[in-house]
Amino acid sequence: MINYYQELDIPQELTGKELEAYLKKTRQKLILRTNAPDPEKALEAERKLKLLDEAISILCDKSKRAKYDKQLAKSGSSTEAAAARQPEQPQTQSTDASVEVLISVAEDMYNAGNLQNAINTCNKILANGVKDKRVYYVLAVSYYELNKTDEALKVLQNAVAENPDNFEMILYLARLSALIGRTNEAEKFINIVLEKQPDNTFAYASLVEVELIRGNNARAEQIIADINNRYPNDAVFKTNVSSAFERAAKRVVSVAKNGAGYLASKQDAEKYVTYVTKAHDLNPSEHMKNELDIAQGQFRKRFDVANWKGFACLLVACLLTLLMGALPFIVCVLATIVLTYFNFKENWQIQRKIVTGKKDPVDYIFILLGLALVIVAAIVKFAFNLAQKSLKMQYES
Amino acid sequence: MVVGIDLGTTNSVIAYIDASGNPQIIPNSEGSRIMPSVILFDGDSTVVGQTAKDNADMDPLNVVQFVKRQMGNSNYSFINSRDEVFTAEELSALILKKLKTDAEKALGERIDSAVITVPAYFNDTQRKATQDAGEIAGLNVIAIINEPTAAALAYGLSKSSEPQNVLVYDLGGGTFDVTIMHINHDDIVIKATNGIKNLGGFDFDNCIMNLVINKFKEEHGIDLMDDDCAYQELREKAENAKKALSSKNRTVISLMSQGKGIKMEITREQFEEMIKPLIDRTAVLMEMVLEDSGLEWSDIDKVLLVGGSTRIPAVQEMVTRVTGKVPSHELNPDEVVAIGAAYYASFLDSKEDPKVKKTKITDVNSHSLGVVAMGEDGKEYNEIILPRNTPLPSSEFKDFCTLYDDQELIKLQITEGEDEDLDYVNIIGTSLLKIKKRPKGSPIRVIIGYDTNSIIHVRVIDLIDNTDLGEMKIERNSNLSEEEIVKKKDNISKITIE
Repeated sequence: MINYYQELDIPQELTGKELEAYLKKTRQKLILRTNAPDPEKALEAERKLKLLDEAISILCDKSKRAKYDKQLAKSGSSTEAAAARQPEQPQTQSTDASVEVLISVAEDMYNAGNLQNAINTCNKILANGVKDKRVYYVLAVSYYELNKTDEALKVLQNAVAENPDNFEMILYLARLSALIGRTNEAEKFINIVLEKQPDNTFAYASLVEVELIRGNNARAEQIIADINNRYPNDAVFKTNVSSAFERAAKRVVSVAKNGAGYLASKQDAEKYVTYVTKAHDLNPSEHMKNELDIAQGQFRKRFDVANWKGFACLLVACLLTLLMGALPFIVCVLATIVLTYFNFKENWQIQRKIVTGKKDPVDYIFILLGLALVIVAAIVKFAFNLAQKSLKMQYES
Repeated sequence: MVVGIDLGTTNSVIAYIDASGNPQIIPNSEGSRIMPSVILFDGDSTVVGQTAKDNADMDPLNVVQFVKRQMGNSNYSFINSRDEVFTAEELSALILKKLKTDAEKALGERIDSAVITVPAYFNDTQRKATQDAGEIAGLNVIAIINEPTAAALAYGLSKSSEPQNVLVYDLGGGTFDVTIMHINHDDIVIKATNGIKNLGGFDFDNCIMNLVINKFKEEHGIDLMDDDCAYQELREKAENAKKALSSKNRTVISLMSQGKGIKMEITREQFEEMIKPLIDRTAVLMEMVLEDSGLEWSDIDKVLLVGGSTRIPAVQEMVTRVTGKVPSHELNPDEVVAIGAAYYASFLDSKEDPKVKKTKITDVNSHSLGVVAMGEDGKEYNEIILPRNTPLPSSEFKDFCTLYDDQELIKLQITEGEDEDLDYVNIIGTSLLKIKKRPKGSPIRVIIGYDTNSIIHVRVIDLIDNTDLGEMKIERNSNLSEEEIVKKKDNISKITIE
């Protein structure tokens, strides 16, 4: 009797949705493995895929599975014997692999927004005695997104309590605390790290991030200046602060992404470009240079194009009304000045292609406005003519 | 004269655009529009095409099939009974040469340049091998393009006024791939692609063959695998049965071996049940590609079917069920890729002519790129840096740490593949870099860039003082050197193909 759990590294306790997700993931992996450069490995993947197809038909059917599990338990003595035959083989190898897949299942569930299941899966992994950084992290952020911030913090606190010397985890905790607005706590955690490692410039970089989240940019600048004085040319600090600014820039974008998909106001757009510029100045790497080019390029392009298109459309409208006489022309020019002023002052939008592929409504608004102006002018002119005509008729009679 | 060539695993097709702008398939000297990619070394002569396939029964050891699966494999070579050794490039060149000479005869014109198609997930070595095969056959290969892109060009989707998202499902004789692209006039952006190297009509034939082999063993106790000639005959009959089952509900296979014979009936239902697990795999890949493309099924405007195996009703049903769209198959699925390649060849050829707008194709990297990293458990694994289906050109980085105090060297191994397990990925470049002595855990950044010429740039940066530790360029690594290509071209030009 084939033990699917063993052959395919399927954790026996999985059921329902979790089992399905796990099997799906394994299937995707095995299908891609049939492309392995080594033909023998490809054949092995092929063999496992066939097994998996069988396993799916049995394990995903409740009654079939119950029957199979019973039979498996009966033949358990033989599997135990098989296990006894190879006592040297470290148990961890197969469980490691299945834990890896479970962690990625949890991460996928989190990414797909299936938070409750992600939490359940993480708790299951932790219950198995696996203390993995990523599990704590997924668990914490899942709780965080479900607004269960206390639980989220508890998870990270547990992680820190288990390994108080893991400064990375403490700084993680600090970052999460800052993200949920507990910036004071975040500062406290960072200070714990700094007490033990006063030269930990990573921690100072985290401090800068806390200030950025607080919106206290002046304070952030001050810390940067201080640390630069104290540790001139400390690249670790610079690259990390650079990353903090990059994250701040991404936060601006992600807020926009959740909204209209644009950096809706000029302030936001400017903030974005400023953050990216800062990140670039601190760490002029090729990557940051690219990011900066993209940011500035989009900013300029949007600005120039919006200006140019807007003026062009409205100018055409003015010229068209010129053909209809002096009064509509004056109305149209005034409207153009007013509209352009308001449009460029407040509401012009910057489109970031990276954020969204949607067309910018600005393009259409200008054309529609131009058309509307021409129509209004025509109506004004028509009404004016009519009035003139009736006046003339009255006068004649 | 420029042509487009679909160099397929089982069949190859050559096409051109005539003076009035219509695509034309060029029939070969036997008068058929589709030529089996089969080579037979028969005595002193070399035969390519249907004749080779038909005579394959007589001389299985002198017949080469499915060369495409070996493209880019430097360990592969074929030795015929004349003791001549051929690489995969040379074998493909023989097929290309047959297409070229027959087409020249049919058109009465010299063919000098060609566009050859490859599956979207072919890696650089495989692409370069295909290009080399063309050069060896005496063709100036002006471009290597992806088969799905060619299919979209053939359907004229680049002429449509509406921008659209297109899924191309290509299930051919030996390979499967699925690609999602965004087409806006002449701007074709590949969004995501994935494939299975060894899945196609050949495997469906195998399903039928296994059925017959088992029955034969059961009834007569004879293993057909031991009888080369009967095995070849069975392959041909299985293929015909498969084709028949696309239009009929049942068909019959009869076979003789060692004086014993059987006659067995196969129903469509039976066939569909056998190939279902294989077709389901293509459905899994479709879902994965959709996920990579960041789209939903409702965003897909058109589904194109390419490759002879898409004639199977069960395949069409599955594609309709998964995508929720009735797929287009107005064009002959065997010819559509060659026609697209011919269109592209004529675009490139008339580049000087300002009237013809050049189609712009933006590609993605079809395989993830990464490095070999050391896990916390001390085991090496593949850490992906530039994920698959990222639009090109692109560059990504990841930060790593030194493993011990005063480490002096790091071994940089660039990987290509999706799996964490190094057994399932290719190492495409290795280099040793000297680094400054630093404490354990010092940060090091690895940047992988992929430009539009398919050249992979790798840079390593010491993050402590922001200095460059080294740069590495992986060009399309070729199995053959320039001189070898010239030499092989010379050899192949001496071979007369019948």
